[in-house]
Amino acid sequence: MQGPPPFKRGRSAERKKGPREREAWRGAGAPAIQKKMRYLWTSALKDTKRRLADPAALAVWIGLPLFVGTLLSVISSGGGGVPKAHVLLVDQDDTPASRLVVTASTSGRMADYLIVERVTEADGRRKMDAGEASAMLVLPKGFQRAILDEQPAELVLTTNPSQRILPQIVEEGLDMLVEAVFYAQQILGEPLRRIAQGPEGGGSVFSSETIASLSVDINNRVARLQNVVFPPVIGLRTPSPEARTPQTIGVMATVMTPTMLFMSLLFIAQGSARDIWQEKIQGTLRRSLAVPSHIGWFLAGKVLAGAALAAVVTLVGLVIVRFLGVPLLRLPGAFVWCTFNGAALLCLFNFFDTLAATETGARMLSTIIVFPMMFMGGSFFPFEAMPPWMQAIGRWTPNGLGGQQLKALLRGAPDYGELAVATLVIIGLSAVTFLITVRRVRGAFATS
Amino acid sequence: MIEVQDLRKQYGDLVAVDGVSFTAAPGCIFGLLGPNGAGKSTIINCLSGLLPPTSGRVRVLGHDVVAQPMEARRELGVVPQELALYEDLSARDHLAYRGAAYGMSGSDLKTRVDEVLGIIGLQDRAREPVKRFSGGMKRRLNFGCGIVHRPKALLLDEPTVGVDPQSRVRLLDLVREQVAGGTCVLYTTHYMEEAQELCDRIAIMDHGKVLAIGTLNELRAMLEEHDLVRVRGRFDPTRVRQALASLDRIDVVSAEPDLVVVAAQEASRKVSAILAALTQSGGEIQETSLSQPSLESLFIKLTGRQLRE
Repeated sequence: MQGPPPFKRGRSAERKKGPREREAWRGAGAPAIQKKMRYLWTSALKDTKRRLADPAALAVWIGLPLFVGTLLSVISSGGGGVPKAHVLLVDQDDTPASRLVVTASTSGRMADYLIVERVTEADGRRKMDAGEASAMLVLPKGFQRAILDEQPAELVLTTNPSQRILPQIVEEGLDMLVEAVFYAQQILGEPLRRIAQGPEGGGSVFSSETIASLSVDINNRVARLQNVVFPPVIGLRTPSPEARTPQTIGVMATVMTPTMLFMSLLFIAQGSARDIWQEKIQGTLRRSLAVPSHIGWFLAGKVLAGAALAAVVTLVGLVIVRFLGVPLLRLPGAFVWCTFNGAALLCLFNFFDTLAATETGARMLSTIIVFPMMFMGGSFFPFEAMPPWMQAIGRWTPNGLGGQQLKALLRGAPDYGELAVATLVIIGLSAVTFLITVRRVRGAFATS
Repeated sequence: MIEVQDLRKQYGDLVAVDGVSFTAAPGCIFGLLGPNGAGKSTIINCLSGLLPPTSGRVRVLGHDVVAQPMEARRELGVVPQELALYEDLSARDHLAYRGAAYGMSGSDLKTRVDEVLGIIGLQDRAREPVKRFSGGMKRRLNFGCGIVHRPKALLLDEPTVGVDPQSRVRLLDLVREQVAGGTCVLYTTHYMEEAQELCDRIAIMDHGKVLAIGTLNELRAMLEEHDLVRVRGRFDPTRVRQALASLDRIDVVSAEPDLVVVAAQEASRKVSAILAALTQSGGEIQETSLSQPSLESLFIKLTGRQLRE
């Protein structure tokens, strides 16, 4: 019943080969790398099957970040689908120009992001002190006059320090508005000044000639600029998703979802790394050390299985960002990037887990590491919601590096130099931690 | 063939294995018998390449496990003491995975997996996850994982620990089947009955040293056919030794306040004299037993204590 061994090297083994062995020897004759790759593949398959056998853990890894993300969105948007900033507007000028700013901020796309409430300055300050608004904008007295005389005008924007994202939206939105006012002043300054000075001769009504002259002047100015400022493509054409600008895709797709995706990847890495301890405790690790294949292939199989899991979770995340308007063409790069980062984070957490002397110690260590990494690296609160000093540190955490590049990829504006640096740093870190883990597993870790 | 020469394994000041030498031949079962902590598992770990020996030489089919670890491991099957199984995988998954770890693939692997499933009697449950298996079935699968690559040398580290009698008998049969195929088996146990029943040669170990080595008959001969008389009660060890010294051809193996063990030829004829001497020494006898020469007798004679103590 007991046949000879299937694999053996050297001439003496060849001489002993019997008819029964030939089939086995065909395998032995295969290049060594092929056997190693097969072992890597079967190891990965084995771990993937085991992961799939635990759907509860999978659900937590995917569901928890989704839950947290949704919760954060709801909190920051006041329950709506798109976060809106509550802006208090104090109009001390109360002129057509100041009313134009008020109208502009409550119509069009600005209205998608801002809820504007007109208040008196005292009322506004009380509400800001109570934290009831994201920002307060004061249009000072003399605003219209300053615009018409091409004099500097200062809008005062007070933001709520307890909020991060929404005041930023207000700032960016008002920057655009200020620019619009500036260009309107540059283009239509002269006719506007004539209107503001009132009818000639001190009357209360413009003469028909003046109205016609002003209309023709405005029409000519707009016509001259039409080719430059309003290209014909604007018209009534509805822009395709690919043509959307980064700002129009929205915070949810390019900020919140990547943040939650990296939270998932961190949880997967932390959870999967515990498997090394399970293997040690149940004796399968020792058994794997006794086979004629380097333990590195066994561990690489684990990383591959972790990457497969990261790929599945990434797919879920990317379906969401696609739904939120990110162009399809940007998703393959994001998919590869996230899967790669998932594998890298698993290398890192495998390393942390093998540093501990006991399973409990490993759990504590990885928990102590994962939460600061999550918070600092922008995988819980996005970088956009962090103070600058924290962003500066967090951008150099492994998940911070990965998360930033994912956002750039989703915005369709990756800096390839930065992407290359991040890739090299992550590859280097993964390689070092993987090699140390292999060394530890071959040494005291497995036999202690 | 498994050759162990002057093997020593030391952890700091603790010597786990101290100058152990033995040879296990093909088609034979070599038993390592000893209590927990005797150093049996350390020897198995050194053989399977998990632990580097501090000194000495270990070879599997001529391959030095330190100098040629991969060659040695290719010839070796390991059945560890613990159930080294994945609860969520099936028996077929386990065997296929272990086979692949030894470089098997394709039809050879598939055929061998089916063959091993037959050997261990799990064909009908081949696709079920291991978590649904009984303890005995898990033990058989644990054994199957060790033989899937057709090893020429097999290390069995206490494979019957915690197994019900029926499964134990089945496992021992599986071991015999492997040996019949020419495999060299190194079997560690602390069950003397198993060693007596199964092993062709036995090394008795304690505290990292081999105390005696040989076939069962050779070991029995070391006892010079001495029987063991065990007397439980309350004794004064010093007075017991003095009282028994007066009796002819009696060897006091141990004299403790609650147990006296005496070795003697044809002890049944001397029991009354032994009991009288113990009573005279002021002892109080509660229980007496007489046992024929066995490995346990030898172990007690060699170490002064029972194997399971």
